[in-house]
Amino acid sequence: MIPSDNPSRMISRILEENACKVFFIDGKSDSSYTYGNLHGMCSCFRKKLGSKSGKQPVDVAVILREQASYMPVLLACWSSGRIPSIIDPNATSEKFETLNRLIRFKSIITDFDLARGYSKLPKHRYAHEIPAGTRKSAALEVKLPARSPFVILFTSGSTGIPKCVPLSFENITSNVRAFSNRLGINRNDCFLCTSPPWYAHGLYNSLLSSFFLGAKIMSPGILNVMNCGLALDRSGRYGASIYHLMPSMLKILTMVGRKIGSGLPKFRHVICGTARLEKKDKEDFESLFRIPVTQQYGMTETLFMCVNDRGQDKYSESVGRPVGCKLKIVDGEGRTLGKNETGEVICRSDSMYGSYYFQKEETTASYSDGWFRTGDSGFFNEDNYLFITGRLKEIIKKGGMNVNPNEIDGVLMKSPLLKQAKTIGIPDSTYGEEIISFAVKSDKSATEAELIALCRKKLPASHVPKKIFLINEMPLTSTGKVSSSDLASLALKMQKSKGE
Amino acid sequence: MAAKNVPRIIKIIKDLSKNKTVGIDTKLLDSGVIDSLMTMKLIEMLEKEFSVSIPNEEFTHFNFNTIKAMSELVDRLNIKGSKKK
Repeated sequence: MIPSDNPSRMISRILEENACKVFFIDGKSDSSYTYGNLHGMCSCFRKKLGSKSGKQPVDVAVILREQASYMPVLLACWSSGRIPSIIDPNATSEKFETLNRLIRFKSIITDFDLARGYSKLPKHRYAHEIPAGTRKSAALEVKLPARSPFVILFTSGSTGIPKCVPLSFENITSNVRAFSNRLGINRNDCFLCTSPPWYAHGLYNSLLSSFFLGAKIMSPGILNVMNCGLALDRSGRYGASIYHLMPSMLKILTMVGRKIGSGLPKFRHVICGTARLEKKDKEDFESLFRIPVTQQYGMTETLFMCVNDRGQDKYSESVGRPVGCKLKIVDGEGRTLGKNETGEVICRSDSMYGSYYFQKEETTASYSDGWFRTGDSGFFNEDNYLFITGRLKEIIKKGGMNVNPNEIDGVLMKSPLLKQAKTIGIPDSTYGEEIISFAVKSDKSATEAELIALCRKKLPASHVPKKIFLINEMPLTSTGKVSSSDLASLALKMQKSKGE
Repeated sequence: MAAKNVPRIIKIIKDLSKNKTVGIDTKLLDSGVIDSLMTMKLIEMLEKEFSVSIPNEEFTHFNFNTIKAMSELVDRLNIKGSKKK
């Protein structure tokens, strides 16, 4: 368990108590570094960064490719009064300038050669070198207050403008404490990290959680089919016990795991989040790896909110019960709803900062009286298990009726002819909005007429899609979720081409 | 290299990449024509199209980076398969 503390004392204690213990293992090269090495790397880079002018913290853009670079750079930023904004290294210079206009960075820290012409800001190059020996004595002074932003992350934002999410030391440590206590995760664990570290899923769930617990982390790189065998092999070799993953990774692991057949690693907890997990994918993974997949519910703004660690058998479709936060279900007027009543999920906890960073409009739209509006619709059952039913923004308002697109997707996915289905609403002059579904076939013979017939059989007439477009694959956002806005444009284009 | 495999692999890549123009030496992974998640679909489609099973140890960047390499991989697997029979 991690104690409440101030940042300098707590981080110094973690570094000192674990000085000789391995913190990071690079699964690709089988190289590693200890907490003592980490302290040394941070001090070296801190010197290279030099001092900044003034006492106020300054914002810096952190653009790193190597997973191994993140923790030394973060510590160097915190100990020099710099607030790191974590930026996707694949982002274009235009996207970077959008972020720069919002935050006004003082400099960029990177571990690779940025493209020519990529911003005129001063750049600091981080070279990942492990200094000889370990530092055991000197404390690390953190120059950022516990309640001020410690790290800035970006979420995609439905309007196309990213939302800048600050997280303080207190937000991070209180969430790590609550989540690890619930699941019994501790310093003896080894986290397997295969998610991009520039999003909360990789940075917070694996990297920061393992650091603040004094645990180990092993990374074989971002998971794909090519390195999946390596990830499984190294997980066995280094005893990876905790694995935070996304549904798409679950599918890759099942596919490769089946080919490997035996000798699969034995994780203690496999925790899945970020998107809806299909029942079949979950069951396939569980039967192969012989471990239940724990579903969690969280957002960058709130970190973990729920985990389904005890209700797997009884409520397998639930994201679980709240962990270290208060959750309420409210109606459109903000009135609290009772058990089994569906409304918007709102959250209040020590793990959320309470506003976006320099974004007043976005803050007003999402935060009110200390509560954060998740934008998700759901309900609590009589045992206080939360069920997410969809995104409020995605609810289709057809002729004054609220249609949940997940209900239609659920019916379509029961067809063995389909691999994937996604339903959206598009503007319609008669109904206000009309229902359009997109489907990816698993069988060449699938036709729109058959699928419409299936919907007619299983759904009320008002819920049957006007059109079902069969496509080769779903367009995805940068975070791997199906892009509803791309589907909406595609629907309009396809309707136009058919003269409808 | 069995040239007969190439048109069938090109068709698979076109289906996956929404009709992007590719040549037999186009670096599909390096240039982002197919991304890492698509590779899973690619493997499934190759296995189905050529009735082969691609073993895990063949899941390498090199084997899937070009159509030429994929064609050679399919050939190798077909030869292995027929020897077993």
